Amino acid sequence: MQLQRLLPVFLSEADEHLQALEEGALQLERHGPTPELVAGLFRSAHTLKGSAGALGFQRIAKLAHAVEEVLEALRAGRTADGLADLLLECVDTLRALRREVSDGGEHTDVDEVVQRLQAWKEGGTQDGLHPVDVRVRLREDCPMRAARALALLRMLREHAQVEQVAPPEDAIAQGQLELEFTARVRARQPEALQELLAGPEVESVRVMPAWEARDERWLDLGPQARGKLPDDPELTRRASLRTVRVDVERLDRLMNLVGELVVDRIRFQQIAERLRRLDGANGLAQELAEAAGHLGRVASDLQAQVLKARMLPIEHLFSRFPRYVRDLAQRAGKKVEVVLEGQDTELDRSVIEQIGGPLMHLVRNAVDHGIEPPEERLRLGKPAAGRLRLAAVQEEEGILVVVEDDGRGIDTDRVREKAVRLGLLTAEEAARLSEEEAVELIFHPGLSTASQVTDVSGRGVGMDAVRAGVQALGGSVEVETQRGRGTRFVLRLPLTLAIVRALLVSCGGEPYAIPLAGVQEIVEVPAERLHRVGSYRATVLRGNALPLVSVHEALGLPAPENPGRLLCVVTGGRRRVGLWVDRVLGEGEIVVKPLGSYLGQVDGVSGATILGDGRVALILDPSALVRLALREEELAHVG
Amino acid sequence: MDAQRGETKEQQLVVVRLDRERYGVPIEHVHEIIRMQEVTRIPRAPSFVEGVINLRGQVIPVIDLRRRFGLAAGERNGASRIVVVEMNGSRVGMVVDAVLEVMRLPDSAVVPPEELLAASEVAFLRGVAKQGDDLILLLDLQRVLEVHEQRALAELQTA
Repeated sequence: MQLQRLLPVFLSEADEHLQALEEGALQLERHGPTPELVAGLFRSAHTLKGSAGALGFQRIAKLAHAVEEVLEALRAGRTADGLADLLLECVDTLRALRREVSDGGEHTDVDEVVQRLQAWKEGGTQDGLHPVDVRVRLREDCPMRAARALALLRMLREHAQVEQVAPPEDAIAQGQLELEFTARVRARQPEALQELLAGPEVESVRVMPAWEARDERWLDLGPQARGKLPDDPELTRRASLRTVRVDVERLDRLMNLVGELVVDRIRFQQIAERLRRLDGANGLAQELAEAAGHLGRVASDLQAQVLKARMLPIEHLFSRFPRYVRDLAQRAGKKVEVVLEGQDTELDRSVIEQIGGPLMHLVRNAVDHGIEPPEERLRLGKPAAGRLRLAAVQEEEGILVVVEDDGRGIDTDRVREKAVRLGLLTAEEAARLSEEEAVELIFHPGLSTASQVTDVSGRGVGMDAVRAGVQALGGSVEVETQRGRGTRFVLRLPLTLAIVRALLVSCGGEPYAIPLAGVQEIVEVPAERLHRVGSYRATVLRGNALPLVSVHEALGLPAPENPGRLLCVVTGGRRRVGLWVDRVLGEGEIVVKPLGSYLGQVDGVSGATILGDGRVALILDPSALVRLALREEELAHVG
Repeated sequence: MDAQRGETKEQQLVVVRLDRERYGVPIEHVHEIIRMQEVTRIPRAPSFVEGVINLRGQVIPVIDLRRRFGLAAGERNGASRIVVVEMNGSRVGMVVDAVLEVMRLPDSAVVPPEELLAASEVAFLRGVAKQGDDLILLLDLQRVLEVHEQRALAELQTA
């Protein structure tokens, strides 16, 4: 049936319209209405109404229509008091309705919101006065124009609050008046002003809603906007497609195929190598090597293109924040201004998905704890509204995402105190920490200067989860803070998740891959330098104790006979662990394959990769390994 | 399952052997059948999860159907196969002793499992069919591949 085909298009276009309505409402709140803004809002509501109605989604169409009528009232001169809040509520309701379209259900009620929209439309302004512009044009043959104009203004003052006159009154008094003057006034009955000012020497009087006057073009749009879509060249240009919507699944399948090409390229190269060793200078080996090389270059290029296709501008993520921050700030009784930079910086879509959570946590912290209430800020000489800056910057190695506020900064004394109270450090140790080290404490699990909040999956969402989440992507989190000035978090992210540089090692005869970002070094440890601490081993590396585990121990697999001769030092956050490995097989780029939903989360393993010989090697997660290994250590201590 | 107005509705099954029983897998869910290959172990997985394999570039999990059903582990030989099924968008491989044939069964030949088997044995079955002297046990793939149960098992194992 037609509906099935049109539905996905409707849903994604509806999402865009709702996003536009939300952004428009926020703009309305901050900067007031402008002709372009109201026209844009009207277009979104109108288009949504049309497509929803065509597909039979009556409730959406009804609500969109009510929004249209309210916008019309705005255009005709109603002041925008309280409209932003109401519009945002409509967006939320429309979003709920849209969810019902895709997930089913019929419980969202529109009638209540529609009624409130209508009440707003009919209700007066807060003080009953409408802001309008009165433009008076005097007749050319009017004697003593200045005097006439001033007299008209005096009359105007008896019926309205005159706020501004152009040209200014003293200029008029000095004779600097041509034929027209405009007064911005607030009147209870703007319609009456026209008649009031009409007179023998007056050519015309025009009364317009204050902001409408700024752009005459708007008036021409009026009749069109009332009933149908404005004839807008902008709209038609956007409709001509320069982009194609691609299902994420298709992209993932493309990625898989490209990944296989990469594997095959490696195999060809290996075969060429073996052939060369057999044939010596035989031309055949050479030809194969050249063909393999060419295949390799094409495969790399293809890889790069497909990866690019998976990239999305970070705007997709950033655009949610103005609304989120507005609601947070309202609840916390604070004023926060959001500044977004670098919105068109592109990231792999899976990276974008996964930093959403950490970013929201950082933003929530900034609004709830970082930024001070308006009164306090004013007392400190800061502007009443706090400034929250979200920026994305492209660097050679990857992307930097910055979350910065101009609030209180991190109170390192409180952090030290809490660490001591939790038994993580003694008081002397806490006192000896430098400022940077003290700030780093906030990432320690269990230490959170706010109440521990758990997210939907039941895991604690603290700063440690933020760091772990970013590290799982192969990135890192840094923090800078200054008491009284603010805090800045810098997230470094890799350009792509799908392909990662990794170290290939063999443990107990099985191959494993460890992302290079988590590997500090590989060392050989002579037997004399091994120590037993309780039931496990450790060594000393450059003055610091390094616990040692075998990969199998860390993963909970049965331990093989010989745990290995080489140590691979992996880092997870600030702690390190030495992993026993038999041999280093090599280093290179691997294509990350997910383990799939059937297996779910496997502790210590972040995915799998396919080696040149077709075998599957598990990709180890360095920080998880460190955590697992050290947990074993703690258990051993207790025992 | 229903005798409907004389219409013959039938189902197509891939029949596999586990120990001495014959099981039927609905063909619409069978993606392909491959020989046994090297399986990479997954740590802390339930005992019936063998590990993962490389299926033309995709990493898919493989389970041992015998262990899934609580049977003793079987001997792997040249007849062993991995039946790759697709369910709810994900692919899983199931190790069986042998793949016997593909057959068509009229719906009317299928009866609810309780009719012929004890309650304890019907856990993973959606029906039973008689074929001559033999019984073919029709698998309820949804149950066989039940993830929640498996996750709960995994949790038990890490505790």
